[in-house]
Amino acid sequence: MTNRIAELRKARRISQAELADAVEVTRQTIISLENGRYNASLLLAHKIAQYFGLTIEDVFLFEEDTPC
Amino acid sequence: MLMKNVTFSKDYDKTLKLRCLWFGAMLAIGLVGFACYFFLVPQSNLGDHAKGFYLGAASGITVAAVFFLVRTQYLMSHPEAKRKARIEETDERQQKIVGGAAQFAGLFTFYAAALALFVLLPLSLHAYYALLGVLAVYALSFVAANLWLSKKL
Repeated sequence: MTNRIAELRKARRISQAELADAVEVTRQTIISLENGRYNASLLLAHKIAQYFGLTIEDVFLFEEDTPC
Repeated sequence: MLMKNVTFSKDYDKTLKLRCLWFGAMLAIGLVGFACYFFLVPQSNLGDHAKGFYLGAASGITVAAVFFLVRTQYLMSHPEAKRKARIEETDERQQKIVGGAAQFAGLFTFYAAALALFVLLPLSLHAYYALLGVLAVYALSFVAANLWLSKKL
């Protein structure tokens, strides 16, 4: 599973710390999510998607949906 | 509903209050240790090591209990500090790390203890039975936790 968190965050000029604060996780978790080292739980995925005003599918891309 | 569950603040307040009770109980243990050291130990014929244990353990437990009580009270009266502490404690990645580390440590300890049983048997039967008891408690607590979690989740 990949995600567009870094892309969406940079497009909105939001820092990792601001995003982490908004979704109530540590900055290290955001870093790990962006690097693909950690997969978010459904709850966190929902919070992040809601923060960006998008659906989970818009932010988190499952392997078969990932463009080649 | 989902977002309501996401907000841990109310539960965290309960957690902090419960922690205060636990640290209060811990403080009571430390004070009982001091009382024993000052009133019971002088009349006993305990060795210096045992006397040192009473003083050391009572001091350590009391200091730790007071420290954590003060910290918890501080968190309860400072919303921003409480929020930061809550985020750090409920961070799902951190919880996964702690869970994974605990799982590894448990498994490693179990294997190390099983290995040690072979070494201990010819050396000390008491130590062998003590370690065997620890392994039995570990196995039983694992089965109990497994059953409880299977019903809960």
